Amino acid sequence: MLEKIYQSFILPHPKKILFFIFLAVCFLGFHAMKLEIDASADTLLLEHDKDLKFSREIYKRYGTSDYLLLAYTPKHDLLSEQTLQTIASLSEALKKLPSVHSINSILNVPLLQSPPKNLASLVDNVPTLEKGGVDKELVKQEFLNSPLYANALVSSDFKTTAILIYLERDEKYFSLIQQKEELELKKKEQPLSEEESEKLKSLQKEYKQHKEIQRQKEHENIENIRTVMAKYQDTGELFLGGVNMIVDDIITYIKGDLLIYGTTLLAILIAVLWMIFRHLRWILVTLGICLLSVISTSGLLGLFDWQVTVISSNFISLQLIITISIVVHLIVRYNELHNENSTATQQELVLQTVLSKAKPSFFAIITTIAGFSSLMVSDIKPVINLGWMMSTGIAISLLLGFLVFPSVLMLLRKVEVHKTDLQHLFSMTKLCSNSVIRFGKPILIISLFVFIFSLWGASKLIVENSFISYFKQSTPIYQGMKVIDQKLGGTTPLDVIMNFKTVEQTEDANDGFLDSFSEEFSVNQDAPEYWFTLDKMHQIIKVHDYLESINAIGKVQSLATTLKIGKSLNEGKELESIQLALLYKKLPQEYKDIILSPYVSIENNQVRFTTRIIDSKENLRRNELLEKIKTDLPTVVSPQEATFQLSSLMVLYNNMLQSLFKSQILTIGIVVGILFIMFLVLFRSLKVALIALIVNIIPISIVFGVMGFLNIPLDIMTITIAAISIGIGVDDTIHYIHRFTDEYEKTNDYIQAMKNAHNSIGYAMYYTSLVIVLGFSILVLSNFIPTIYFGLLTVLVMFMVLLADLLLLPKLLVMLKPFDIKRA
Amino acid sequence: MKKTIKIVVICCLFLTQACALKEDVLLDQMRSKINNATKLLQNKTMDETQKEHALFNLFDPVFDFELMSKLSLGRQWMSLTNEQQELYKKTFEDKLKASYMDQLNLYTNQQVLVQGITKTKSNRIELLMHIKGTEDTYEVIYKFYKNKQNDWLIYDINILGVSMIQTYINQFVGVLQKDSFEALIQKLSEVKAISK
Repeated sequence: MLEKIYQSFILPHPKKILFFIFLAVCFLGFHAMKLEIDASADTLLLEHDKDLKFSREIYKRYGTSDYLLLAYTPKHDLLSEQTLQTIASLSEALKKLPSVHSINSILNVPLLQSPPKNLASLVDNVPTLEKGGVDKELVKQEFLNSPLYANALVSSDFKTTAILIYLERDEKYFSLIQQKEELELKKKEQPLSEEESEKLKSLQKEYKQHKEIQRQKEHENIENIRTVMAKYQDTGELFLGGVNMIVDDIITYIKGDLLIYGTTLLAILIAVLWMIFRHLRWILVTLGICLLSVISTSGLLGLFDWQVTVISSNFISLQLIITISIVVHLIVRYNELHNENSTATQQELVLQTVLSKAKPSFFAIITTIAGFSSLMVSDIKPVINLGWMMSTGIAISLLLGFLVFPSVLMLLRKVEVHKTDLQHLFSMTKLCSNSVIRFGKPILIISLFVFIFSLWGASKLIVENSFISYFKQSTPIYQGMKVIDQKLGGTTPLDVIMNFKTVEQTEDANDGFLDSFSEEFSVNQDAPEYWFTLDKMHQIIKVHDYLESINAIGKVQSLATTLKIGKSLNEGKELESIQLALLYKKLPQEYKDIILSPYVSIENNQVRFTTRIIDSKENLRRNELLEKIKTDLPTVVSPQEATFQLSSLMVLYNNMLQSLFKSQILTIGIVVGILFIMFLVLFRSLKVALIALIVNIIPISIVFGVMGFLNIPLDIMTITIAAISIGIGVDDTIHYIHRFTDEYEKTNDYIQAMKNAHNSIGYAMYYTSLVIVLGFSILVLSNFIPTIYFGLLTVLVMFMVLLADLLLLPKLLVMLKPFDIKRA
Repeated sequence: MKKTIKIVVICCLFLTQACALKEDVLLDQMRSKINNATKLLQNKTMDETQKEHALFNLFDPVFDFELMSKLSLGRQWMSLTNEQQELYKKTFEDKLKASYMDQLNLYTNQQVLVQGITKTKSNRIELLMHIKGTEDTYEVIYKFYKNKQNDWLIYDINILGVSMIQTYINQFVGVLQKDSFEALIQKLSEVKAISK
């Protein structure tokens, strides 16, 4: 049937086919312009994560503002006049930026212990460095020792200080999320009215637009801050940090990489294709089909509104790999047929080429889709989208490959096929087939050894997401993050939320006399100022001290910080409940916003401890740390008194990673099962299916083995490598077995079939690998570590797949002789 | 924060000027005793312990510590044995006194004015006092009730709208729900020890 389609419709009308494809690609190209890149941080979070909802609630409840942290290491002494003037002028310049709400620095924070005075003397005038008239030596001591400032506002060596840049709070974002979620929740429970459905749609649209606008604003703000910082570079070292900046920088790096390495990759692909084929037409055909495939896929993504995110930004590279593989197989097959039968017409050659490659290519693509389908099991929208994108993308590549390649060739003359220099000088395929004959046993032993090594390595695999390890140590961003991380209190925010158990107020005393007072006291018993009981304060201090005792936690701030300062101001005596009640009642709002509101929610009978995790801590196991905190807290404060919840970015990223890990690693078994069934359907032989499976499992396991061995963690960027490995791996196996079967049918001799297969399909496999290995090696030069890993791991997969398919696969076929005589 | 602490101190201080009073002389006597108490505090020849004794002697008669103890425990008071009630009363009184004395040194010559009294019920009187700081004036209300002997005794002080007794009620109800009476006594003693 396929032959009929080609003979009747495609080959006689190449121009029409190409014209229709051109129109279709133009149409999709138009939609490709609508393709959106959603690079916001929340695309990295789990869609239905209850912790995400909780974190947003907490964020809203405690009125937290996003902030950036500028670490400043001046050339002069931290408290010298020059430095203070620089900080003042820098703060002024930053304050003028539109997205900046306020600035906190050593200049304007209240100095409560310089000199140590009793509480009463402090009442009338809280000194600051800005106001002047303070003893700088005492100020230094206060900064170094105060629970408020030590290791957060100044480093312990007193060389670096933090300038906190508080950003304007995006109220609209939270309001949109809330409205959207309310309707989405309602939709789950009952059908929405027409009006509500319309509202939900418009909210979703508005939310998306707002997010993009905000992201651009954030990016501009960071750029503006950097411009201001640049003016002060000669006064000392300045580094910008904070989660917003990290996310923005990652996105900038990825975009930069796409541009620089995408262009270089293209140049290398052209060079290698030239080295292999020595014909401009093959370079143009290959790159043309790649380009059409990428445009078409992008168009479909735009059409279906699938947004490209940080995770799915790899899809173009992956589609390139698979498209190149399809086209190279077609070219090699065409050249091979041309060599075998130089008198055949172009139409005969083209027809033979597509017919002989259709089945293995189709199955290769189907199995690759099965590989990528493992991504769809995850609960992370960008990962699910990557699965869909890849499945759609490679299906498009297959379709375009088998339409454009024959159509273009029908418009071109036959050209003489030269043996390329590569074939003349060094034939890896021949070397491989000889090795299979001469070193069969060592190949098996080495494979077994490699597999055992891989299992051992894989057992050491860790799932970690360390922002700081995304960047090379030589980059300014790494150095800046390290300063902030190690000297100024840590990077990734982690909140501990403590919910006090509600205490039932007692009823009136059954005493006529006492009853007469009870009404008076019961009226105000729930007033917020009476919330501050010593018992609660002691529990808060206990939890605070526990969190501070954890090595991986940098700065901890909570109500306990205020209590500790209060104690030191109160001549070492604890503040009593009445003092705290008065403090709550009469403290001016501006101070309340700093010392109470971020840490206490009286109406919810809840307190919040904000901490920052030291991201650069070696051997930090984030999941274990969170589990330890969860286990330890009920021993610090009994569950009868309070319960705990963890919140903030640290928890959300960890949830996402753990979910990815489960969906990716644990479903590998399922994917392997699906592959096995597909091999069984394709080859109709249990033995062949098993051989194909073994040959694929080994290269995939090597990837994990090497990652485990080299301590490369599975993180948001590297975790999709499992699906990618399967996607790349199965293609060559299917092509090889398909060809081997054909050759065995012709010769009825396993060794000869192997030699012939190596000598034909082997080249296509070898060329494909060569193009991709050389092309992707360029990524190693990136400054962004995940890009390097992606490049290295792709190169490793391609190389191992090639070795497995050219050495282990033929060895197993020759040794196990899976094809019976009848078949032959 | 410092301001509020100072206010507590001053309030505590001027409590000491009261004594068991009759209604018709309550206001005048309070006024005159405030002056005495201020002088006592400003007296630099007396050491802290002497001042402490002098002040305790003044304020002990005007406070109904027993009632304050009962109010601070609410219903729980009734569930205590007589011995426990006695122990609690003693500990609570010590705690209150310790807490007041603890803050006395922070007093720095603010002007204290008794504004007047309001009879809120037939057996309740509130005495309003203003403490004049450099920036603000702070309001303090002493709450008196009439006992069976027709004497007016203080059972609560309201400082800037915060009732001292209410703060204790809220603290102790939580402690007694989770812990035993002994634990409450221990906690009260601990606080006292820390404060001292």
